[in-house]
Amino acid sequence: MGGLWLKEWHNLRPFWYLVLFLFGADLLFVPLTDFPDQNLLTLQFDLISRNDWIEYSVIIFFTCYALTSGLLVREQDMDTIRFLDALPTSRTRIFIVKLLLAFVVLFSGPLVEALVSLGFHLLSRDSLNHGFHWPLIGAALFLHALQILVFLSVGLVLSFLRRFNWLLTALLVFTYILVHREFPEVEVINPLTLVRPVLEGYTWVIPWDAVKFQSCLAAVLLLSSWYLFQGAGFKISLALDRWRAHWPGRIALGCAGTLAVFGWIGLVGYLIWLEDPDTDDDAEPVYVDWRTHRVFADPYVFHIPANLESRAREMIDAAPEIHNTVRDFFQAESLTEIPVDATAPAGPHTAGLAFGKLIRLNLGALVSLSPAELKQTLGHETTHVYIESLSNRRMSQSFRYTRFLHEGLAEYLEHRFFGHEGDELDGLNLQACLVYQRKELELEDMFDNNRLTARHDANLVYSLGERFVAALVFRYGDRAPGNILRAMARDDAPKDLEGLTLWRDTFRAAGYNFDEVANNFYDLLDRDSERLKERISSIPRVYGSLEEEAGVLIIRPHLEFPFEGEIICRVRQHTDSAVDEYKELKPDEDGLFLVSKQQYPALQYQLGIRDPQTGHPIYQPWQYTTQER
Amino acid sequence: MMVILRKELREHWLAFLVLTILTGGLFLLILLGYYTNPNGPGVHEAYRAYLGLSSLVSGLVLSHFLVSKEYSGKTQFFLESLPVGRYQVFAAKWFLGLAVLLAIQLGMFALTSAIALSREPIEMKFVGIALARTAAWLLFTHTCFFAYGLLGRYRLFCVFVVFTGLVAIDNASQLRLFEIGPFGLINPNRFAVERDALPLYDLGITAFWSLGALLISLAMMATREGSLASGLAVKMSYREKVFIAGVMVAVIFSISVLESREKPEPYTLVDAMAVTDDKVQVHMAETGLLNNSAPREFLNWLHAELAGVKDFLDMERLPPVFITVRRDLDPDKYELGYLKGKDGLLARVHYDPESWDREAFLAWLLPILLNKATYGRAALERNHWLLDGFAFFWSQGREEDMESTGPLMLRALYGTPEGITRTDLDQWLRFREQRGKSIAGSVAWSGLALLSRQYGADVLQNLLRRKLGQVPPVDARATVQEYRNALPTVFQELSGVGYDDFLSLWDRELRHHQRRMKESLSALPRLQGAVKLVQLSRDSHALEYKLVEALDDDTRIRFNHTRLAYDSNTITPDDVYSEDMNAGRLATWQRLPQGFRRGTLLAWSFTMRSEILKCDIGTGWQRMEVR
Repeated sequence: MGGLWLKEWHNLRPFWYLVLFLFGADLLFVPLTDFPDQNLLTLQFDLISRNDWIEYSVIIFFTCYALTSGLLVREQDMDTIRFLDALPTSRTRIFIVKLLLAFVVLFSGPLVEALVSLGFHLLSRDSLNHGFHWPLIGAALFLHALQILVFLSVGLVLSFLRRFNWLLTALLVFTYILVHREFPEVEVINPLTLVRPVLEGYTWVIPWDAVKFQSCLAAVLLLSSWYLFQGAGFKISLALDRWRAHWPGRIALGCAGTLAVFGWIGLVGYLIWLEDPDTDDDAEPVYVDWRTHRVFADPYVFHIPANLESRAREMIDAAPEIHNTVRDFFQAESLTEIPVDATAPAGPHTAGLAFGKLIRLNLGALVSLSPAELKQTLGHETTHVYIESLSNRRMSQSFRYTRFLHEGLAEYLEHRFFGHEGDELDGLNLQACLVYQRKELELEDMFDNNRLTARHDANLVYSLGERFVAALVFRYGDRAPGNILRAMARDDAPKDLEGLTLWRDTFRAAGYNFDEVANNFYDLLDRDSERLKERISSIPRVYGSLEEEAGVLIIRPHLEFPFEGEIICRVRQHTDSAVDEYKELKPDEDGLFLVSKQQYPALQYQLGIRDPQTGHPIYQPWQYTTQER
Repeated sequence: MMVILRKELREHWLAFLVLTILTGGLFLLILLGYYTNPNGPGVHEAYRAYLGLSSLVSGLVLSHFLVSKEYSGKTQFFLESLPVGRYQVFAAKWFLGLAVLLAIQLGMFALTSAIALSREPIEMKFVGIALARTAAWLLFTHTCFFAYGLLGRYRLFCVFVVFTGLVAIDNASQLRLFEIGPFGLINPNRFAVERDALPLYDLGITAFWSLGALLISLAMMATREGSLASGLAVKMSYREKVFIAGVMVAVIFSISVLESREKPEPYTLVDAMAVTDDKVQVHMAETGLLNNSAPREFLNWLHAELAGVKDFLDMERLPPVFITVRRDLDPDKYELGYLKGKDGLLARVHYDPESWDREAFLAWLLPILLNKATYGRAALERNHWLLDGFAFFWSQGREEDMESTGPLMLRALYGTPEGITRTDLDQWLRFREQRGKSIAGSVAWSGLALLSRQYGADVLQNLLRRKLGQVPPVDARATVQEYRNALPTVFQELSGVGYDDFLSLWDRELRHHQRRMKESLSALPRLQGAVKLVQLSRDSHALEYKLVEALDDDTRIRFNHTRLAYDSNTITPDDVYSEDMNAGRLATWQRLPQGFRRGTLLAWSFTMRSEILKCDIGTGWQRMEVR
């Protein structure tokens, strides 16, 4: 038995070195590149880091798969199993030895990571972060151990498929992603999310449901791989060979294979089809039965269903003037042939979209919007087209950091040149003033869409962006936006700049002072706040409390002071959930918002109120929750 | 050559068929996905997504069946025994692979364009441009994967080296490698969007890369009559796999180490007025104040002060200081800007010549500047009191000593009702959080003032030079140096007195002066506040707060609170929310209009302005976890 351990250890030793190298690299590189006594555990221990845990899981996954791909089947493929069979041992023992050593090799990774982090923490800890956070480390190691066991069990079973192992794994992952979009509750089978750090203070909330399910799954898969290692795989292979030896068998296998492929494609297709294309309850159905007309209104080429042409006529007639207004504002050369596609939907809550030179007007919007609103939409989208053209597409390439100005500019031109007065404009300004007065937003948030979306209503880019551009124009005149876009397109623009740094650099290159504009921006907000102070003071903050009852999560709104208007609430699973995955909840008769826990194993909610005058939603920042898992 | 073609077709027809079915299925899925949620520039965008994925899959499959399999099975020797040249075999395989790839992918392209022409506003010109992009991309991927197949067991390693090299060059230079050439052809911002211009530049670069890959393939095929490719086709052992993986990881780490050692370029401020020399630079953005002489005077003064600090601490240079004026800040609030990859320190301030307190700004700036200059070493907790003390010592208290009755001394005494202990200094971050920066800084100042008076200005200067002025190497040597030259050791070495003896002396001095200024101190209020959590539900709480001891009703009190991240060690002023009200209102419980979920880490404090001490005083920050 000892010889067997040694023989397996000898085989796995290279992997052990690799795992030690991957997870213990900090022990080498931190002393070479950093100060070992300035690495606190809460910063250094990557397994609890909200940003780095996934990388470590992926490393473990690939290492585990590389290891398991040959752990059992290599003995059979190289015929060395016969030598092992000749020893006074059993295949069960061989299986157990291989499994245990593989686990030890892989688990040494997280263990080393923890030890190295503890070592650095010992040197670095200060009076504000003195403890070793043992419960956190214990939970991290426990969950990583279970994750490794799951990876091992899946890898061992699939390794019997030899070269189709990776292909099947890729298909399983792809299918999981699609299923997850429609049925989030399947997250319970995902070994990656098992180790996602969900912390309540310094306590890791263990996902017990997933732990139970995946422990059972690992046990079943390990039993299966044990069974296959006993020789069952060989028997199956022989049976398949027998089938392949005759043409009816070949046909049957071919049909089965083809059915499997098409069945899978069908399943995936069904899952994609399940995704609701348009959740806008207010949108009117439009049937595109009519021929598409092309209408030329220099430089636009409108593609419009013939049955809706008269509705769009006023916008089409005004189109050349709209274009010239935008072009003149940017002092740009005229673009030729701007296609405007009004033959298809453009998504919920969207009147129009622009992609490079293409403008897409929402077919539904064509029906529901007034002629004035259609003109505003065309002006808005034309602005986007010119922004892209002048910036040589750099604005969309850095969309995360440019969305604020992209939408701000479009909104500014829309308001300034194409109408929107009174309540509509005030409603927009009100949103901006509220977040400003409540000090909920920093300038950095506005120039980083990911930061903004993580904490706030992403649509704030419209109201705040419009005010920022107004400040820019106020300070430097109408030429400034165009010059800034041209500066963005310059050949020698540094390419890796982000957020405020990107904009400081761009403003500097255009010859403008960013901070001066920021000052004017705040001045404008102060002025607006003064003008709208009565409305601002009439809108309460709304915050929520979360309860759980019989698998239902209940969000109970609380108001800063009594308010008669409508309270709204929407939910999402994660910070990076796509906007079309957000779900708007309707209150029950008690004013509570209910959501199924099964559908939302992770939940973030955002409460707000609807502006009584304009109907605009005014959201509070997103609230993160942790649930018993 | 036709013989070879027929042989390849006969051998691999099933693989080609399966590949066609699989890629066709993938295409249909992506198409279905697009039409289910059509938020894109058109159906060609769906095709672009398909092309990127399927060309990789197709390339891998074709190179496996046409190249790798032949060499790993050693069947190329049979082909070489036939009456056809090696280059004919190569050409047959190469063209067959390309034909299969083009047939599949261009078939899908034709279908895409047919759909688009019938439903979207596109012209044939656009289709032509997209076709050129597609064909060039396919040629590129085919030649690359063909070469990839010939590299045998090192193919993944070679891909890694090339890819890592490209990433490294991309990071280290201003070249936008992944936006030009072949990657530019299928760029999501261009492929389905560009309607006017043929991307000649990208096509040219792609052709160049394709030619390079083709030459590599030919070289592999020809070297030692093809035995090199044959030898490389042997499978890797476990050891070789691990060794290669280790090399790959080491390369990645090495590149990251090299990148971290890159010297940042200096930051620039547009329209800034500046006072600079080789060692000290201060810049201030123009904000409509150019006609006013006050900013220029302030900059001159600041430059002189910083130059003085540099000389006093015997430093080589100080990081450049950039000041921008932001009117959204209170005059006594300063904000640190983030400069990614640039050298310098950016400060945002509300500069108003009428009310500007330049000494207070310098006291704020100095610790940050020294900390940056020493890569954070000056702010190690065991030395931190020196840093805080020096900021006040230099900016406000060089002329004062412990006998004075100025605000610095009063603050120091207010902050040490129980005297000073070794624990206070060793746990300075906590001490500072409890007392507030101004009070704690003044306490530290009193220590430096005593040190100077008792042991001489030279000892103080040398101590500060050793602990604050040395720029360490950014590696473990700094840690070793720190342990060898711990503050008590250096103190003993320079003054000849034990560190603990000095602390006893300091404590006695403070207590002595407390007796001396008892009346002044007793007139200063000491805030005591309380908070309680009110359960809204099992997981959510509201926070209520009030003052424990009554104050004059009209006294303005702030209740400050902030949420802490589990990995955030310090409380930064820009993350703090405040509720400002009269003390009378705080006699009863007040509720914050927000909810706190279980596990939230919170910090809170009450503060008020003391005109006698000329700073905020309060309860100090209290940390808590919502449970």
